[in-house]
Amino acid sequence: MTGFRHLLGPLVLRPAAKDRLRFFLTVSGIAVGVATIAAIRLANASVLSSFSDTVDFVAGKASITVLADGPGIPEAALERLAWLRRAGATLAPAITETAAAGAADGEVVDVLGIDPLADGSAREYSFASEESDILSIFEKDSVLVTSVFAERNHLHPGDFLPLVVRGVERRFRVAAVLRPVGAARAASGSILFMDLAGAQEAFGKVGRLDRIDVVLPPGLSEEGRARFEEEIRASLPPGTTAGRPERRTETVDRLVRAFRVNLSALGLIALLVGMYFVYNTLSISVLRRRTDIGTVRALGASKRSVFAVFLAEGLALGVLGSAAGAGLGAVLAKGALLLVGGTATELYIPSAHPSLHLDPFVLLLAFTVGVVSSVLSALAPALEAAGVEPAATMRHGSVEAARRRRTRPLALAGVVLLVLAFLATLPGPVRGLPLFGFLSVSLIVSGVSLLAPAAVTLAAARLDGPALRIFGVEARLARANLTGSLSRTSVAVAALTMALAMMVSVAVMVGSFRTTVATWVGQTLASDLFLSPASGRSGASFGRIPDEAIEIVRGVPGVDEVDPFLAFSATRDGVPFTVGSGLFAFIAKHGNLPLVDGRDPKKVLARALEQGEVVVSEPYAEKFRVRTGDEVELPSDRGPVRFRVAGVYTDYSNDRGTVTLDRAQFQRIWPLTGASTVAVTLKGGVSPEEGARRVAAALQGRYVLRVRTNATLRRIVLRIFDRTFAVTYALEGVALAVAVLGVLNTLTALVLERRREIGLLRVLGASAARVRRAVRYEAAAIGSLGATLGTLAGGAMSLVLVHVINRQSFGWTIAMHAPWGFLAAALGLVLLATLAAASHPAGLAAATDVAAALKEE
Amino acid sequence: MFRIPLLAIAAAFALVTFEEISALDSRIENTKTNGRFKPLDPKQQILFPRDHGSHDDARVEWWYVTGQLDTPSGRRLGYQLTFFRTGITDEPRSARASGFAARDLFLAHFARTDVTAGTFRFAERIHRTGVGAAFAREDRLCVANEDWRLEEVGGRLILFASDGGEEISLILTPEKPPILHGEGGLSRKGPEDEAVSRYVSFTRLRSEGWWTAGGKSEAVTGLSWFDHEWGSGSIGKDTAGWDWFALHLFDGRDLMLYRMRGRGGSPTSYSSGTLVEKDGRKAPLGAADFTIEETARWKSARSGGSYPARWVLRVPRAGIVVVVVPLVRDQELVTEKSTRVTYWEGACDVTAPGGGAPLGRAYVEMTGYAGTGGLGAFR
Repeated sequence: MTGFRHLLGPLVLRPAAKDRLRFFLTVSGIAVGVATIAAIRLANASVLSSFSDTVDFVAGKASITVLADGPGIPEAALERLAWLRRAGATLAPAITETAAAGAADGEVVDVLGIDPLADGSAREYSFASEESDILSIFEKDSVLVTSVFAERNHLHPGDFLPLVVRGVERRFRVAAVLRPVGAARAASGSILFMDLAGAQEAFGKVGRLDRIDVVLPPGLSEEGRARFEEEIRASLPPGTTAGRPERRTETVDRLVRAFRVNLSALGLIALLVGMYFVYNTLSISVLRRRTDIGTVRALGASKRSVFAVFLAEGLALGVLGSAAGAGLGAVLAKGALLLVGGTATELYIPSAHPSLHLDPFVLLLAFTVGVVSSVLSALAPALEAAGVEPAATMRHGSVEAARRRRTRPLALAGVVLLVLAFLATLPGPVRGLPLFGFLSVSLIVSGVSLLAPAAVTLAAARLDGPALRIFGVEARLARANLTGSLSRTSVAVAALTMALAMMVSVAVMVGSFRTTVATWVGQTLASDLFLSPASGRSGASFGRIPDEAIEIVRGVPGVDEVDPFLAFSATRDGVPFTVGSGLFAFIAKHGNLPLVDGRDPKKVLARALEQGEVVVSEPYAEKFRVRTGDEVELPSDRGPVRFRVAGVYTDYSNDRGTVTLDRAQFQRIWPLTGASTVAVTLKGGVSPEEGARRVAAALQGRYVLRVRTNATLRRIVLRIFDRTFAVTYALEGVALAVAVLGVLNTLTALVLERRREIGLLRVLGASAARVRRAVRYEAAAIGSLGATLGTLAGGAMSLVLVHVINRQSFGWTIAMHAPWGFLAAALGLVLLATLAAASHPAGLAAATDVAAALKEE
Repeated sequence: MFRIPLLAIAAAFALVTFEEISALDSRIENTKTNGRFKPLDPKQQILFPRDHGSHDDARVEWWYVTGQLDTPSGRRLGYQLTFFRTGITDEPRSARASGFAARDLFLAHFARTDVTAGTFRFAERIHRTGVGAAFAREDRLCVANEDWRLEEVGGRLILFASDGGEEISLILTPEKPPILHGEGGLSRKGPEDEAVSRYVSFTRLRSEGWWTAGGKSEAVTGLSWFDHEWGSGSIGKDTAGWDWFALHLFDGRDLMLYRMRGRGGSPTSYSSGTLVEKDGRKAPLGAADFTIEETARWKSARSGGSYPARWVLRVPRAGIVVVVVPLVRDQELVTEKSTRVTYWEGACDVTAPGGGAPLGRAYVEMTGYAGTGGLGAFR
């Protein structure tokens, strides 16, 4: 590779040194893209690994875990599994729960109820304190805490820890402190251990278990394990399943997968913008150094060396940018974790307690993605450079002419991609993921980008006539530059289009979603007050409100009716969903359950109550392909129970999917009492605030419940919604910033390249102000073209997002509501930002040293 | 015999280390008098079959069967099956809702000696009150730990135990009425008021059943000894260990002797015994009525404990002078999973001092010889 080293100086290093700003912008463009990817991946991985770690630590040495499909395993299952003990296996039954520690608004902790005698062989424990009174763990209100938790809460053996359990604040005695090994590492140490009996009593689960971990005798072959697994399944009562502990991580992964994949997709779009940036920079630098390339080729440099040099520049830019991006990503990850972790905690796993884990693999991956995409983006410009003939030291106009000839085929290809994009909206989800939807979005992005050169040419052609008369010579100059440097301007337009398309589509999607949810909240939150168990800092609701508390509320003067919602988590083919119950009579009276098909909920619910039918939420119907009139199967101790679906109702509260029964029927099948939440209507003349005050007073000192008025809950719902989408907004901002930087970069390069031209113009009598204005007009043209294309593409993409991606991943029907005000403001801001970005190159142009520029000539 | 010390049993906790056992001691000292555990009432009459069952107001209780068996093919076997119950809460029978609410821990040991092959094996189990694990009935003898079981049916005892492919199922028929040791079944272990327990035995049980090993079952016959002991007290502060002997003499007499050893290793005055005549009449023996002379030692490579390995027992009043020799030297139990006590319990032969034809068969238990490994648990 002779000449490669000699070429680095004149073609790469010297220009880079001379043009530090451009160099800096390119590197930071890549850095931002890589940082975004890294941050999101790190945050996601941290959330998920904190959960899977918890699953692992809790599963311990168990080879097989028995879980319930419904609300718990009947204790008798232990008797049916007694043969396992004879075969040398250990059975470790457990209760898994969550509680709010400290006080009503304290930290959410996992609670594991264990049999201390059997658990040693399933999970690892190690005591931190020497003189702990360990046998007191068998006493009623006794807990073991982890050292992490003990330190945070200043606890010592013998101290009392207040816990809110089933709506009641109770004191638990710390029997001992556990060192952070084995099970004590679950939930990052935010886990308490209780005796099985105490946990059953405290959480109202007497007679039931949440899991049985089976430690098989050592030295079994894979075949032997499988046989055990089969035998265990055969001896289990109905409604229970046995599987390897890994299965549970998969279930949770499935739960948050849609959410995670959507975020990753957004991160990818950010990187795509970054790749455009690299391509943009390198193409411009190839064009700018055409003369130099011609010269070195004439001096004997081979095509291959030139190619290698430009590829090397792409590589170098990629390495620098990606390294910076990886570092930046690690910093940003903390913020991303707050957003992602907050959402995951809020919506899926109340006690996730994710802590940031800077996985070097993730950082390396983001770095590699950055470098590879930089090199890929450099490929075309490098080929272009290698194609420069030694004699071709003429102006690049000839190249541009070639580009212009390619405009039409490119546009055609763009149209083909757009057609494909439409076709990609037709297929259903792949393994629960809207893969074709994502494909469609990327096809739209690429298709519209390919249309950019044609759009620029078309717009420039339309600029003749009145516009030119109004704006004068400067406009003519701008127009000439737009088409004259088509390769550069169209890239800038395309980058801006992409970023804007993404912003517009997400804004429309989120806006539509928000309006839909707000409408839905208005329809469903018909009651005056809402009671939920105090559940610590997160807004998620878990635990149950005991029946006695509901009765107290019912008896409060001014309370008209109460509607308790009671639910448990079940699985169908390993996919989790919720089985819920409410008073159908209440819903039939108030009609606060909008049905997807628009039928009158009052009539449907009244009929369902009469016929013993169920209603299912839209995500459930979508996920399991169930329609009105179909039958659904629910797990119970006595085997599966089948129900006819009376209707599908809209539900944006979660994407798990819910099957709802009438409370009486629900309680006939499952031995559950109390409620997860309670809706309360007040008698006329009692204000919600007054009602809330009375209910709180009646519960005071007995039950720790959260009482919210209708207005407060609505506010909270929308706040949670906004927080969930905060990451999306952040990503949009990043992509836009990158695109605006791209415009700045392009214009700067164009100005620098046209120094001689500008010098000549100045000599011919153009004032500095005129030159400045010409650059501004050009920026405005690029900006408005980008905005127009971006809005069109974004509109199309938002349709895909709402009707394909969202529907397939979450099962929600969203009514389109474009947030016009926001969009107008955002587009205006982008135009302003583009103009502002133009001020630097415009200044450069105005400050062109006429004499020096002419000397070059 | 007062086999396994209270504290050791109660500390049998899969999660617990030795150091934590001391804590339990103070818990039990603090036992409220109005709680569940009551001191033994000497005036209370012992009534069967009820008193073969579990005593909820006693903190510690165990049922103990040892025996030697023969097969038609000439193999000779020894076995020990012990069920322990120890109360871990002083709460009176409360309204705790959970079926797992732990009132008691149930521990069990199962040891077998194959005299012919010279091998010794044991297994241990520990459970708490709960579903499908272990229990002891209060109305009659019926104790179980997983599938190990000892139950009285129609005046006979049925016994089943299994471990690692070996199974033993026996029907035990009493040849003599139940024996109440000490004064009306009250057996004193030390000078303290509470150092006393109830101690009842079936000293001679005709044993018939099946022994399964390696997939083959063999009929077995022989003699077994059943002990049942309960109480809420302790074994006396200055007790370092004990040696217990249960002899089936071929002349039809049964002899039980125990020697309590003090801190220095010397016997205390609370050693005692019972001689049961062929017709079932019993004679209590005081510390002065017998002597135990050690004539050999054996050192355990496993625990480092040094145990007596041959004795000459003399009960001049009954004209008994016999030599007791272990059939297998290593019959030591290191019970890491359950009681965490290291002790020696094994099948022995009984001969005349000068040798000659055997005079009987015996089971011997020795505790407190394996250093702190065995004794740390005692305090």
